[in-house]
Amino acid sequence: MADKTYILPPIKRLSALAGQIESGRFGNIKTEPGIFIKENHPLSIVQLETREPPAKDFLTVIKNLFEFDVPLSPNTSSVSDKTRIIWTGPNRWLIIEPETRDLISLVKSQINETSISIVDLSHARSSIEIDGSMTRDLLLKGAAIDFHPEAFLINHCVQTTFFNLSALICCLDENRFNIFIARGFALDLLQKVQEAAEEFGYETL
Amino acid sequence: MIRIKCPYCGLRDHSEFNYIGDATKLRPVNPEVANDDEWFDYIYVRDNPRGVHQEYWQHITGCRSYVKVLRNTVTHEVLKTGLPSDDLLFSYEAEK
Amino acid sequence: MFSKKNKQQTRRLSSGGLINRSKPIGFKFDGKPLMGYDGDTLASALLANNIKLVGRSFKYHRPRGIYTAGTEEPNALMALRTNARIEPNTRATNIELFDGLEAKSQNRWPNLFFDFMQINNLAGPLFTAGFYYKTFMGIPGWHFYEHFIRKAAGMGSTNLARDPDTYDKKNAFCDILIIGGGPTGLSAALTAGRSGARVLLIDSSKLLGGQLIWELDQIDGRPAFQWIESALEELKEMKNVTIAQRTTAFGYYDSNVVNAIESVSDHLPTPDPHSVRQRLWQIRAQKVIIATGATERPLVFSNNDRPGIMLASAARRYVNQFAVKPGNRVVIFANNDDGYKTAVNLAEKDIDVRAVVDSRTHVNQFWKTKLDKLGVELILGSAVINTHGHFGLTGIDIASLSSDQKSIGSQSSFMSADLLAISGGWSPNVHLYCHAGGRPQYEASIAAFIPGVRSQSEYPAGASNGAFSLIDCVTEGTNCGSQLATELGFSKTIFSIPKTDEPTVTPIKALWRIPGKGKKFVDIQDDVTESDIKLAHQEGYISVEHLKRYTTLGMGTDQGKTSNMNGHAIMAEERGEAIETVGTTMFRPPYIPIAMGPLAGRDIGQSYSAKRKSAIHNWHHENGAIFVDAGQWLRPQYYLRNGETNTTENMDVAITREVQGTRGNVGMVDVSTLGKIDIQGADSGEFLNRIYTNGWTKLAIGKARYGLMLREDGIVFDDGTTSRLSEHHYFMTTTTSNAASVLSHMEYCLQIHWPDLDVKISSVTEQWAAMAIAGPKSRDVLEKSIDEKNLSNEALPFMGVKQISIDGIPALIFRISFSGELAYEVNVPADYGEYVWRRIMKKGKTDNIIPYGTEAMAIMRIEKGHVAGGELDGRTTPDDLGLNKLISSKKEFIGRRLLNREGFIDPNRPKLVGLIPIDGKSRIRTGSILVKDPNASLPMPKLGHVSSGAYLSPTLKHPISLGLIKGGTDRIGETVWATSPLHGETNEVKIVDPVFYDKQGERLNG
Repeated sequence: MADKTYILPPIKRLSALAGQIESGRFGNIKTEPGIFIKENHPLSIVQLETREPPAKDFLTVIKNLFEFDVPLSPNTSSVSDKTRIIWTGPNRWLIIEPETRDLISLVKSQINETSISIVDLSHARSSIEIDGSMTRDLLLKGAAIDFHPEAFLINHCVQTTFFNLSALICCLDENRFNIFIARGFALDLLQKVQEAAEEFGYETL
Repeated sequence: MIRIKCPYCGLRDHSEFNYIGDATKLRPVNPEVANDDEWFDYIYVRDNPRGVHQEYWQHITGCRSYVKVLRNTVTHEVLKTGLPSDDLLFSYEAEK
Repeated sequence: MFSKKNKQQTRRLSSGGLINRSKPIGFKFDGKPLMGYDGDTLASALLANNIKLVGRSFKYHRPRGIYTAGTEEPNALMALRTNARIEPNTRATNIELFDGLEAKSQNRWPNLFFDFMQINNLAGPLFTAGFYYKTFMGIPGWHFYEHFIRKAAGMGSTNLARDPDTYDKKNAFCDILIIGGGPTGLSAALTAGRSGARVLLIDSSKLLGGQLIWELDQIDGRPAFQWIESALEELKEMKNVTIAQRTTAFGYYDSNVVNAIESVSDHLPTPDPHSVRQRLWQIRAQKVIIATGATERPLVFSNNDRPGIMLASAARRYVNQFAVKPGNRVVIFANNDDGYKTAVNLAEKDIDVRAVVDSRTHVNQFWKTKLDKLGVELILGSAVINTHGHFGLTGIDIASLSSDQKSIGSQSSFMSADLLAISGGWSPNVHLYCHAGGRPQYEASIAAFIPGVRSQSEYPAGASNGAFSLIDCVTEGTNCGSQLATELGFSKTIFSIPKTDEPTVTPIKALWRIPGKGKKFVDIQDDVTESDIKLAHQEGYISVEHLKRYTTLGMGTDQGKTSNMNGHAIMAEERGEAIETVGTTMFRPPYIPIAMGPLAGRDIGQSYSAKRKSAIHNWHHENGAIFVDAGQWLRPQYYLRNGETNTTENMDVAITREVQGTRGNVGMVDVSTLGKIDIQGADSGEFLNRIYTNGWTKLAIGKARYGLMLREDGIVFDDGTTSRLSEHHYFMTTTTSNAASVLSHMEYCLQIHWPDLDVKISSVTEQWAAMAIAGPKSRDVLEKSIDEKNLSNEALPFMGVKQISIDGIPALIFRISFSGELAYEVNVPADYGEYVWRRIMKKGKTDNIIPYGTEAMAIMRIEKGHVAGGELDGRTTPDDLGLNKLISSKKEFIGRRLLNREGFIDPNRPKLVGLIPIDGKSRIRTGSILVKDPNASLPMPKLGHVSSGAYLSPTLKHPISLGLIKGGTDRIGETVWATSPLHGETNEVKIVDPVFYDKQGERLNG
């Protein structure tokens, strides 16, 4: 039974956080919000895994598809305007972009090699984006990772324990981070981020 | 708190890992041929050393790799970490 | 809130101190309104108000006063705040005064001045070490006495109201952590900071500077506070230096992890809105400089515990920092130079210092001249041998001390005094060094334990390293900061070491106890006296660790900060051995008492464990679901309808409705929580063959198969179905509870056993929302719901798998059944889960589709005799569960080799059966023990147990259970008894086939 290609379904995707983020300013409102919180949705997320260090062909395919190379160093990501590829383990990556096309079918159509596994995780992860002057302080409340700007650079990523949950945290910009979490825990994590942001004051978008 | 260096992700808190156990016991390569004693040893017999111990931890909330850890059970000091195929005790002794 | 009048502060000096006289603060002590100033501690404010009596002692209920000015305080323990915010055993010396503060003394009844239990003091000789245990343990009635004994010998008490404040946690990273912001820590921070290293400096106080903020020392010819100010100015300019104040390091753990508590709002009446009360810091540093200073020790003589006796340095601090006069007629008693520093300091502030009593026979000319000039009598070679007064000191007795310090002169002289300032030397604060793994060494020249060999990357410096002079502190700090930064690869900096104006020191002469009769307190918090230590020695206690536990020496909230050294030295004297031989007890975290709040942080109540929700959760919630925890998942247990309240009866009604609706028409259950693992790669089939007991190489594409997984020791691990989606692509499901462990097990196999296999696995549990549709009408409903419209046996046979679409949404449909009915499992990408569920519910409306929960699901699987969690309990073999048909004899798999061991083939092993109550109605509790004769004598032979029970099978109209019993299905037809002695339940049950319903499996075809 061959995997069937499909076009994006006409039905709107329902996020785990749909209707859960009340927009406004919360917590300490004496100062400007230290944290801005929003959800990124819907996303296309495709996991690629090769058995051995990636062959040249594979690297070329990726380069042709996305116009940049897969990151080969742990804890890093590569990025273009719309697509980010994140290292998530030895010979394993996540390709992430806002959902505008049938990414999984596109990738499958370009990679025919059976030694490369291609897994659709578009619905498996929720993404909470935080921005603002206090984001690194907020992240330190939940994760034992050195988020100092000289240690955790733009495009750095970590998979770690964040507020007792497994999370993938990616630095998008100086103070802007994307937190990926298993869909089932999305609401739980959102609440924890909001609680931790209270003292800084936060705005949900 | 113990901090363990994942060969891929770097130094992390032990709470990111699951402790698995003794890394010196190898599954009989040829399961059919191995005798009862070999199986008994592999499944049940574990040393409880005072001092250096080679063990597996899985980087469960990280890259999910199994990490071999050479740890001093007295001081909790992590002496060396590596891939499952590494013989840490050998390289540790050699470096000493 | 309180009167702002200031008439009470009779002991306040008219000028000086680091207090803000323009900011008076009202507070209450034992209900009495009092005034203090901003900058006071509760202790200094009490002393300013001439309040000397602040508590009753632990065992003897003796009157006690403020004894120190810092963290080491053993006496002045207060219940702070009221109602839900009440906090017992807080140290008055550490509490920053705030407006409206309310404190109560402890361990007295009915009040401080008339304490009923002071009768214990008169009965003193009775209450020696081990008294309570020797007297009450072992005789009948301990349970009765214990309550009263604990009440009499107690600390403060809290209340049970929920703490209204929140607590926070944070992680921190740095190159160099400096603990303590005194002269050593500041010096280290300067050189380390200048090098560019990331420095984190933490200090427990509101003001940085450590002891220097209240000493009159000069640095580089200027008052020390000016040096502090310029150091702080420079440090604050450095971007690489972070300073955390009111933050106390309380534990040094493995891997150079240091935990600290930040008192965010303890100095405020209540935390500011959106702020927290305290914050737990977990700091990971490459190097740690321990600059935690030293603690002054008291001297051990008769009645050395009266209010009005305090440490000499504390007296100095009250005068200099708080402008409080701790006494009007002061005598100093010391065995080292520090007492002189206090004497001169107080006398220069026009306080009447009558004498310095020094147990040594010599002191240098510098101090002699100073005392002489100030008119303070110097009494050398002598000791204070007793004190007078009850609620406050009135006078002391002084006698000469023999040169071996073992006897006192027969003549003693009385001296009137209301303050006796004592100094028995200083002990470096080696606690954090010990937490790190270090064992301190005795250093005779300062009569104290100092840090020895380094265990981790901890670097004690300054007074905590035994370097007591200011010049030594700044030198060690400066050098340490520079050296560690260089070791970490930062640039060397140029620095000069400042100059100080200290006189030369006449060495301390250790004086562990002064001869004489009466109670000589060693551990003043726990009421441990010198004679208790002697008694412990006489009774054969040799180890200091045993001494500690027998006498309770050092076991109070102060952890023996002022008492351990004296206690251990006395033990050494009793044993006639050197102090280094006897040693010291091990210090363990926490250094200061820590509240539970910051340790728990926000992980309390509903947040204690994360809540995992399926994509269809909201629909369940809107449609009457009662949720049950399944690991972290929340699953619908059953659905109540309009007007039904959640009672046991209605639960039965709901479950019956769901089972009958499903078996009669069609039902749908959310099975998104099942573990789902995507398996790809050329060797996937071979891999499945190795981890499952049954064969996988012949599974056709588009087919699913039930699989059984064993542990390496042959015990059943997990079960589920795995489907082949394409040549090298499989889709596995696991039970909800084993999803994580099965994935880890498979990763272990692939990474460690068989790295040569080309298999890649990945959890896709969260990618798919899954729903099982079961019942005779399930096909009709699904055909109406899916785009393909055809689910005939030809299109999708039993155990078939198909990719379909539902309103254009890609879906995987499996024809598998857990309920025994014609059934399908539909998987759709999670964001479409709710949409598809609603669609199927809508399309199935005319077929009376019903949602069902985990209870109905469990009942239907028990009716079918399917095994689940209760049977997969980590003790059962495939044969026990009747699953031998799944054991392939043609291949090797994990767990195979141990299946045939003796214990596994024992015919007496309990095996799976069905159980029905003889009376047709009694509910058989899961976990009940199966016995032949419930009246047999104990111990009763056990035949087996009940593993899963359905209180009611709506299909069979009576309760049914699964169980494991010796003999298994050979016993069908026999009756035995199911007994649960804990619940007083015993019921006769009949053994039947474990498949209760549709044994031929005809319903699978609808």
